[in-house]
Amino acid sequence: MPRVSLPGRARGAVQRWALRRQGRDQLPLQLAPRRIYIVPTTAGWNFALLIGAMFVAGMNYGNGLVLLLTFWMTGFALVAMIQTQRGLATARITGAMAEPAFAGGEVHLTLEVHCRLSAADLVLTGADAAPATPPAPLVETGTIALPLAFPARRRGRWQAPVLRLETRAPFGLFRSWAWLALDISTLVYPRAAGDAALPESEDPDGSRHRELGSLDELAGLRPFREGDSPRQVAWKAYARGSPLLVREYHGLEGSAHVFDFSTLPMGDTEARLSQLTRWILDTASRNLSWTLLLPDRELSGHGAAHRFRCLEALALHGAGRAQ
Amino acid sequence: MKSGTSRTAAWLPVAAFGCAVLLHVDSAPPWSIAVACIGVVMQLAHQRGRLALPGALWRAAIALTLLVATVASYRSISGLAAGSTLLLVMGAAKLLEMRQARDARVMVLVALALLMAAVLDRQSLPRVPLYAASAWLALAALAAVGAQGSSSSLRSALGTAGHALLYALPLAALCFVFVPRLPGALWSIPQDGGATTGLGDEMSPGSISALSSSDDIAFRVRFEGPAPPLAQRYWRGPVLHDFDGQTWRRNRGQAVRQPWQPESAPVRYRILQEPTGRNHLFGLDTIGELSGRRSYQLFDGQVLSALPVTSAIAYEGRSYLQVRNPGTLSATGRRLDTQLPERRNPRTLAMARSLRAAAEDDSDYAMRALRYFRESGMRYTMTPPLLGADSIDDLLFRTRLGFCGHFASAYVTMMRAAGVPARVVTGYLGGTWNALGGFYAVRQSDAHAWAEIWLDGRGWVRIDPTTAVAPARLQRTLEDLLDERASATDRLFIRAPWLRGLRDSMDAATSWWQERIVNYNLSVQLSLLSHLGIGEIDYRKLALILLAGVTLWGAWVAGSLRRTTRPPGDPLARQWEAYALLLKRRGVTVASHDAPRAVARRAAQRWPAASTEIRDFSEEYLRLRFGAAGGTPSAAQLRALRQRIRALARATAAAPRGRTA
Repeated sequence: MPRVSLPGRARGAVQRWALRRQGRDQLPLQLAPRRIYIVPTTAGWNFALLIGAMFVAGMNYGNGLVLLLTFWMTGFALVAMIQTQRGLATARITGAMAEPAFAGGEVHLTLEVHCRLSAADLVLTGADAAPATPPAPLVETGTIALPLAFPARRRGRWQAPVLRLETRAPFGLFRSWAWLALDISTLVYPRAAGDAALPESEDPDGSRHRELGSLDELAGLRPFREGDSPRQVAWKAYARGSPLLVREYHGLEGSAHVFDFSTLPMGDTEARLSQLTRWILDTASRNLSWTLLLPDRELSGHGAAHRFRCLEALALHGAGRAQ
Repeated sequence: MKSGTSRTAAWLPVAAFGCAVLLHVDSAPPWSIAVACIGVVMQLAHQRGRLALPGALWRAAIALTLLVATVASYRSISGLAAGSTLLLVMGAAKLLEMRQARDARVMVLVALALLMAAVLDRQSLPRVPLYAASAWLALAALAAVGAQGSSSSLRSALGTAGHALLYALPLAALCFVFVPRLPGALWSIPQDGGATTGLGDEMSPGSISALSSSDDIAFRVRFEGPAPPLAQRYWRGPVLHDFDGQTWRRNRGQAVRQPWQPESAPVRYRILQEPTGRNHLFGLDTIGELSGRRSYQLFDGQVLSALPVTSAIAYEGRSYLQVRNPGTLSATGRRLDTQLPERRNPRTLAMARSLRAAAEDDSDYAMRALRYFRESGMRYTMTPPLLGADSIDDLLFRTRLGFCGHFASAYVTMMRAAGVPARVVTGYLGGTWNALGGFYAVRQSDAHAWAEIWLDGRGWVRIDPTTAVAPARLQRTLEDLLDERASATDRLFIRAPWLRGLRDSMDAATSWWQERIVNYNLSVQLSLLSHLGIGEIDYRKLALILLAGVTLWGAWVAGSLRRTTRPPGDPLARQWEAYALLLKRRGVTVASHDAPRAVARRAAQRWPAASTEIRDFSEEYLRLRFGAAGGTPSAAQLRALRQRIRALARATAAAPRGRTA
């Protein structure tokens, strides 16, 4: 939260105190007035200074009209304060979601807010987050989606930090904010990396398919997703001007690749997990079946659900069993 | 401006500054107005991409030059005029580097500061709408800059600011009435050498003439109890003693004030005086006391304010129509008021001496001199011919044309020539009744000059030679004076009585404004509070009232904002609900999971005659909900949809029922 001018330590103390006061939050969340904080902005302080000068001048010169103007402007500033606070007090947080990401990438978090303000009036911040491009506006009127991107540093379970929802509307004289301690979590998968050759697939009876893909039946094309192997991209179609497409194959029932954690050549655990991730992504995108052998478990199957289970297992490897 | 800000957010602060500049057009030096206007035009041209603004070095040089120019023309930057000029030119300099939202906010603050300077300078009622508009525009600019999301159009910015300003009005009124006022100034006010109006410290033929054509109000008077008749309403202003043959001047020396005693009941009144830039205060002759403003009374009865009257002020007066000065005139006083310029007006002096020789005493002489004015064929005119070096001789024996200043001057000269102490008193005579405002308006055209002579045993006696020449000046109606001295506006007002009524109501409004708002000082506040039953001023009581008032106001504002800032519902959903309700009243229940076309089929079976209307609504709804509008129909589309529901209601009310009836 870079805009707060208090020294960092004092700010941290204020935030901790506020969070103790309000506790953890549950969705849907209607922001109660008691947890909305408000301070004047620089422009607000300057405005106050001007009003002070007006008041002194009006008092000194005994000028009723100047005093009337002073009181009018004071009333205006108070209305502005109430309006800024009300802007947040009407906000209802109806959804919060973070999408899984791969380590080294970005966790995209989206907060769904139902309120009178427009998206441009609301600023969502969080510790070391970067603003993200807003997703398409949601259909329901009055609901806005606020995006935020966090760096996905380590694999494992990612927990959103305390978020801060801020507004300065309508006049920019006051800054009103609320801290949101929402339980938003997602998984950060290991980075997909490594260039070891894909282990050959095995039939349940032990026979191997020699050539990957040659026996698979092409099922069609689908849009490119993060993590897809470049080898599967339909480059010819791309060269013709169509978007990035990926070839999908029908896996042959029964045949499966076996990805064994323990037999990988590299010594480093993270490097092994990265290699496994890469293989799983490649294999899943070709709709093949595979078996993942980890020291503490064995997962076999195919399809999106299987892919997710495997990535989850890899993300949480060594951190106790996945919930 | 930074990319991404709306165009309104870019030009509205410039417009707010421009509007604030307009408030100073008639008071600030023309060069500073020109500089400010150039700044506005350059910034606006820059925003349209027609002009590149000067670089940083140029801007610094321009700002420095303007600063030096301001300081050079005022020799200071502390006065109000100098401060306003500085704001004007520095605002213009800032316009050359308006890039970010922060710069735009600075412009808004400069505009508000200029507004404050203008209000400090002038407070007349006709300017108030201008001031309000300027404040509104400045705050709309703040809204446009502050919230680019919701206030990106001029209309919405004005709406947002106007809304907040309306909510602020009750608080402004509350604080205005109850915030305690200071008994005096905290520090002395730097004086600007502003223009002066009204009666001056000297009088030479012609000066009153210029005044008389002005219809401006000098002051307003509200009498406690009945007002004295017109012939008694002499308003005493500067008393002139020194005469150099051409011009009468106030005496800078001092004499002892002659002891005096009232011989009639006091007349009490309240005066609301327009700014003059001078120290003169006015009161009904003879002034006992003027209170409500720091002032002092001179030996000759004139009252001076301690500070020049630079804004409209109010004060109370106590006067006596009949007074007597027992005792004899002091030697200084006699010398002061019997001197005449040497070797001037020999014919007047000779005539005065012969008149005096024929008279029994000073009093008889004064009457004979007055009779001379009446009988020597002198006439009253507002356009007298020029007089020569011996001005009094010229007037009495050659031109015989003049107005109050000439006659008073000649009369006093005649008195002094015979050794009778005499002086010229200037001021105003009369005043017209404004029934609407309940006051007498004394205008500059009521300016008058008369004589005062000293008669042993009686003291200073007022003699008005003008009444001897033109008795109508005393019983005058506007019609009487039409030929002689009416100004163009007077003629207009006489011919069109409704215009006079209009002028009177404007005067009354101005008077109320000056008295109740601009001059709302400690004494007015005390009297108002005692009317309200609060009685003695007690800071704790006032603080409690203010606190309670502000709390109530805050609750009211928060409450009404709660109603207006509820998140908007889905307007299409509301239309669907209205449709479902209508069908339910007619006997077709619509469940929340029902698809529109299924509902339409059921309803059409029931009212075959209304099936067109049902289908129209249903298809229109589907089109708006899922079509190109994307669920956010325009207001016109919603209106059309509502009309379809109404058509449906009419059709189903009239149509015979179908199968299930």
